[in-house]
Amino acid sequence: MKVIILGGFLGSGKTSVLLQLAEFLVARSLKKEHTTPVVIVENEIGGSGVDNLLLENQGLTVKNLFAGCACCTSSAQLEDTVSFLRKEFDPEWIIIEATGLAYPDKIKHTVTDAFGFETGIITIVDAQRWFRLIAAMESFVSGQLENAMGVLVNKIDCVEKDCLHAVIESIKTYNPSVPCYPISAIAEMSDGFWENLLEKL
Amino acid sequence: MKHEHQNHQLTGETCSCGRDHSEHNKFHDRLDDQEPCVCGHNHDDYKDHEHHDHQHPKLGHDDVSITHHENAVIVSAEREISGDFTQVKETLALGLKDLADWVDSQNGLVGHIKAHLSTKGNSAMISTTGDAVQIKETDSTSVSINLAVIVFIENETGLADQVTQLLKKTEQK
Repeated sequence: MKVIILGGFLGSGKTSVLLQLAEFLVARSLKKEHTTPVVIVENEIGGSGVDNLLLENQGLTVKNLFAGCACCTSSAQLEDTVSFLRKEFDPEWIIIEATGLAYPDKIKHTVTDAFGFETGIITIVDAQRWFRLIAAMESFVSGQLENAMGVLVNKIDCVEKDCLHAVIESIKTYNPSVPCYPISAIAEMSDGFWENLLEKL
Repeated sequence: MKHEHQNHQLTGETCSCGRDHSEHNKFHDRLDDQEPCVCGHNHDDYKDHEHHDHQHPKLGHDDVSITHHENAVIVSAEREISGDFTQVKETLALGLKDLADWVDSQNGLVGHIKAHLSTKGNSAMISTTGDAVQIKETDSTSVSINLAVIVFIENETGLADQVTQLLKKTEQK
């Protein structure tokens, strides 16, 4: 079993990316019998969820973790949830969609310390709002890039090329070695893109 | 170590730790760093950043609940209303944009504002005791709304009012 943590600030496009990633993983596993390809842990900081309803409507298996942040206040519940999912489904993949206020690296530590699973972080960045968010909360937003195996620079359809280039340059100042992938999550991402990204795990 | 109570200032309720936190951003000292907060939360694992908030959901207006995390204000609402799905959808689409504009006007920052709508349409119960088959149908249509608002703003009373007004608009159509 492998774990992917989808991190990134509020409104960056985590759920849109998750839908495509989950679809890819399900399609790749269709030939295997008696396996659950992927289950999703949906973490919401509030007491009521929205994204989980969308994901469930797409036929995905979703376990909700509400009213807290898995990187801190709900880290114990996250351990319980992953333990339950392993026993109940033994899936090939668990995707944890972090809250937009989480530090993904803290979630990774929780999972690897408790279970030793191979765990990777994919951080999604909103290219359109990057500089505004950096100006308002630099430490927090840049902290979400820590130990990411890839950064998906989303909403490139909303920015000019120069702006996209500047965003990637800015990201590299905080995490010089992280590969950045410009995307538009409203467009279909190819199987080759996902294969390439998941190879890094 | 100090910990921050930002979640009781609107309702005037007393925190389970026994202190009055009705004053915005009021802090109190802990007597012992190793001692869990008396309200039951253990914040010792999160000293290195500001994720040591309290999640004490409370009712703001009607079924609108407000919680806090770091400096973010989280407003959640679930409501089921009678009405036409398309009209509710269009009202909410306009209302969410208005809400985002209002947050901007208050020098706030929108994290995200999301709503999910679903409908419950016709239903039927079919039964028999061996003779005729009974069918009881209902054709009421209702729309379930799940709303999640996460913003960074000081005027949270105003925010709760805005969300409440938004939900009222969906019912008036």
